[in-house]
Amino acid sequence: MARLRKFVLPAILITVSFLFPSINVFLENTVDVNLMYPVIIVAVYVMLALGLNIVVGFAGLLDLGFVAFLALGAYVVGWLASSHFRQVSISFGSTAVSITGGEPQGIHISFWLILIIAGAFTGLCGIIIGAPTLRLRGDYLAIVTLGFGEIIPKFFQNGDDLAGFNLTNGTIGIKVIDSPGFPFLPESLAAWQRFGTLDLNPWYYTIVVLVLVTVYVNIRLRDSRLGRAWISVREDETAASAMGINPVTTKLWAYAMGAVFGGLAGAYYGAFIKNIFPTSFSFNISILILSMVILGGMGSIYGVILGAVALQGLNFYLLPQISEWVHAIGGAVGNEMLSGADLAKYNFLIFGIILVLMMLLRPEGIIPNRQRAEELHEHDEEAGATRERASA
Amino acid sequence: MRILGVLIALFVAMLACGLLNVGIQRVAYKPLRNAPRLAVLITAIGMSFILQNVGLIWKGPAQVPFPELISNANILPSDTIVFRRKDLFVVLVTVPLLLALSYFIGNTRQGKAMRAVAQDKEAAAMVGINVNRTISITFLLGGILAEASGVMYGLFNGITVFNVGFTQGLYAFTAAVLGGIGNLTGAVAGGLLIGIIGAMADQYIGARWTPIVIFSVLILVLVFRPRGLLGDRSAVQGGGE
Repeated sequence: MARLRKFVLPAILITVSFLFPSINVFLENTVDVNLMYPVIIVAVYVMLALGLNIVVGFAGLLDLGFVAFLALGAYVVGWLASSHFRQVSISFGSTAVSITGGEPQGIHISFWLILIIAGAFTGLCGIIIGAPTLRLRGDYLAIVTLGFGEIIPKFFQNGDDLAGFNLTNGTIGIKVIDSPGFPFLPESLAAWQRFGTLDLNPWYYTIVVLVLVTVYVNIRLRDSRLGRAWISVREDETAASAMGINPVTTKLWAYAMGAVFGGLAGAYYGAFIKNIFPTSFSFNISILILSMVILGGMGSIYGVILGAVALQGLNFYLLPQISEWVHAIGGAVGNEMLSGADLAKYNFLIFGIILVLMMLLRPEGIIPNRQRAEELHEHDEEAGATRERASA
Repeated sequence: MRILGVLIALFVAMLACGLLNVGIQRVAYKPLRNAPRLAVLITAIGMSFILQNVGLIWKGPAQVPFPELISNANILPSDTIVFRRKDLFVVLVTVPLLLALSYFIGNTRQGKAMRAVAQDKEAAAMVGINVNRTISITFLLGGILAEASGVMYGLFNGITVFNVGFTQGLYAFTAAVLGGIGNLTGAVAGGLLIGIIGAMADQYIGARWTPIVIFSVLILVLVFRPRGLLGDRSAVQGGGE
């Protein structure tokens, strides 16, 4: 069993994820369904959920403003890979070309470099916002992060005139962000030279690699000295600090690591959707990502991936589909309420209900992390029963 | 006659929201009383999200106009200083409610029980306090006060929207932190200060920057004086449980 969990299952999952483009071609030819685009978006959310898992799952801190890091990452790519800053003309390893020939306007830096910059930048932002607030009790942190998640998009919305300087282009957002690519590759690999919108395979493989890196870092962090420090701080902060662990730095590391992955996912997301607007980064997204972590199981890597796939699948694919069925039924029986029902607008209500129900019925999530499950049931009257179940 | 209508509406809504809050407490928070704090926080945010989305589905995403029940007429004879009926209404509702609350918390048996439960639930139960009832009453009061400010907000601004409480709640939290959590006088002082800061930011920096200004105040207070103006340090700091 242990062997299965440790080697066989990951090997199967990785193989399937690398073979997916062929599976997708097969699906497209037989049943005419192209899943590439939704799957890439789901993968971005898997990455975000794994990032939030470090904060909520490992360190036990409730971050309600995770969307801020997604927004920061996306804006970093917007700043460094578009014609937004017309005043300057800097190019470095980018795929961007000017229509008129010559140097393209704005800053155009290689996407791969931007990924690193975005990760570092959001990590730094995480430290700046975390340092004053992580000294406080959990409830305060939750509300401060909530405010932070609300303020950052608002800042991007208002940032078109900072003492005359247009930093964020306001509600119009930053448009036509450069595609990633490897410009030095030979002509025969044109799709990889510059990632296009027709062939999504390069995009897909990039996000798969990013997700795998995130999973790897998650596992290594969980099993590291820092990971054990997170567990001890989350279980009993006073006892942990008596044992020589500095709770503030420990929590700050978790917060910063989560921010780094949020920023990386944001940078990829910005490049993928090409146009970013401050309104795309609403509070709802933070709650969506949180629901993924809670549904799957806090601290459980398989669980979080499952939660992200399930909820984003529900959001993207299932709800519109069920809506259509309900409309069809409504049309067939002549019921106006059914045929006009728009189920997609109930999605966020569903996420709220998921949060409450999971906490009441199964706080450890669908695929629980065993240690986390025991903590969450520590005070139950039937705690012994849970422990027996877990060890059975 | 109109003012009577407003008062009836205020009273009915207070009762409804107070009971709703008690119901939510009973269904969602009570089963988690011994669970880790994280579980309660997540339930709370989930609950607030449910309420917001029920509002969204019920009334739609657009702003809903409030009937103009209290006039904008200036009650002072001067033209340069304006104090409208609306302003008077807000003061006349807020001040008695605040006095009643501070009398209740400070002087009644139930108020003392509430403070005891806040400090230590088990010890409170040992000396014969009905913890369940006390917590229910706390939630009832919370709902009533939040509702009173909601009705005032709607009447004062003539408009409301499904997620109006989100930003207002954030402001209220900032005010409480600025004044010092757990201190009623501090909360009033913090509320007044935040109101003034907000109005100044509206006027001199631009209304779209007001949320950012107020949030910066929150961060600055947390960095330089986490206990707030009048609070005591133990409330905000500390090791989790």
